[in-house]
Amino acid sequence: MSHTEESLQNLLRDGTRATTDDVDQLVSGLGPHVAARALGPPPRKLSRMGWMAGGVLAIAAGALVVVWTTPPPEAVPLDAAWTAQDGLTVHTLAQGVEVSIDGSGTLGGTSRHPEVAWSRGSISVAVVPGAVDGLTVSTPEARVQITGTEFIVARDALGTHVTVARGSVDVTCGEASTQAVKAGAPPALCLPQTAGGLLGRAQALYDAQAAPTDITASLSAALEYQPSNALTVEILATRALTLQRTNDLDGAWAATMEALPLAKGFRQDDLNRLALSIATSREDCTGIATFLDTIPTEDALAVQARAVCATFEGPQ
Amino acid sequence: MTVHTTDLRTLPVQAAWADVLRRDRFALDALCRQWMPTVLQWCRRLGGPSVDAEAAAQEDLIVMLDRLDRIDGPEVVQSWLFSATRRILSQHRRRAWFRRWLPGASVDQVASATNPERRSSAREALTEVQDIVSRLPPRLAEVWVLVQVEARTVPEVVELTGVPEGTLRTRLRRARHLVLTEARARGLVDTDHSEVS
Repeated sequence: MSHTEESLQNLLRDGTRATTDDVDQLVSGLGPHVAARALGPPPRKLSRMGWMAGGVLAIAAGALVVVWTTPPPEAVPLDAAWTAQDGLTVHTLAQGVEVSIDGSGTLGGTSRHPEVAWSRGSISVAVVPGAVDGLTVSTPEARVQITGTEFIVARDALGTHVTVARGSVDVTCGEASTQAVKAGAPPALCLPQTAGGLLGRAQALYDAQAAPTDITASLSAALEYQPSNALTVEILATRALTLQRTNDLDGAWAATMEALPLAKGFRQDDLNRLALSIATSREDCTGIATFLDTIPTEDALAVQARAVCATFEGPQ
Repeated sequence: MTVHTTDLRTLPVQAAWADVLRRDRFALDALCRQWMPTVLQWCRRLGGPSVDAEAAAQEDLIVMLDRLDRIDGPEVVQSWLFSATRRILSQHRRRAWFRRWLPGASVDQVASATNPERRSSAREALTEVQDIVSRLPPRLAEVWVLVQVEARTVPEVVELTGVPEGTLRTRLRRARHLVLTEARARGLVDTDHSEVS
């Protein structure tokens, strides 16, 4: 059956509509949560000191904004948002400053010092020496500043890549010290600066079948950000999958056991399954016995696990 | 002994905010009942077939109950919930990634190969559309769903998402183009249907 755009929209609208039964069932499931929060503590109010501190901070921030955003007399303010709608496009930001864009970001600053906040995709910048006082391209992980050069900033799940075609640029990754990247040098890579970003990098590396050491390094870096329990579970589980893929079954088992106590109530089923799978690969009948009851008897993994122990224990 | 029961469905849908802030049991329940349909639909439409929309919607409302004191008033509940839905769906997508690799786990995957027999039913076509939307960049998907599917006005979506109107219109154009292109590639839409205007 062939559709139109409108019929696809109708299909999604009608097929996903929440029925009264859906709502009844889900709200009823929330009952214990509602009861637990009913007549709980009153909302927190900001103390007098808090208001004063907030006021001082706001005034300080306002002053900084005034200082930082005041353009030099001859500069023209720049303000634009780019999205990845038309593929590659070329823009002249000021006399002697040309950018080729294939992705999304925003433009600010002035014509004397354009400032690009880049979110995703690739931006190539060519600046005639002396054309501007400076030009900055920032991503969540990196800050690239130039005076006269040609370079490309590309951002994806792996991080921000900076390649210089002519001249040199100063690249600052997060809080690290600034490094100069010259034309012809290998691209600089700024890794994501959040636990979630590093987990995303690890998962992208996993999908790309990258070296396990790179994946686990990204996951270890993610853990250093002291992520929430939920994110820690995802990180440890991804580490377990990675180690299992490389046949480091002891490491995979250890990561899974570390994740399990944190996963109570939301990821336990998945981790039980992972633990059973690793125990089966390790031919660990004690581990299998611990987790065998957590999945349905007829599940293929359960059948496989029982077969492993039957092989070792022989017919009963 | 007489037991008094209250049918929560008879309570007024519009929860009084003062009662909500007092953590009145019925007001909290009415608040959940008021917003559950909207949140559940967002989760179903934006999460895609691999996300458990019901679990995500419940999680969303639990987060709201925990953070009521951070919501500035009833008029901003919707935009607050929309932001929370974004975050929660992002977490659920991560979980879906994990499940994709989990040994022997069932994975809701939609084959992208064209097979007219597979989508003979509306259910299969719906799964295909959900899959197409879930593969869009999230910022494009949400604009497409809010404007094209939920028929919200642009100013309403601007308020809901905090995205400037110009950016929103650009995203919408891009999203419509991508949805149609992918739907054509999957054989859901004839190639002679008009392009996004």
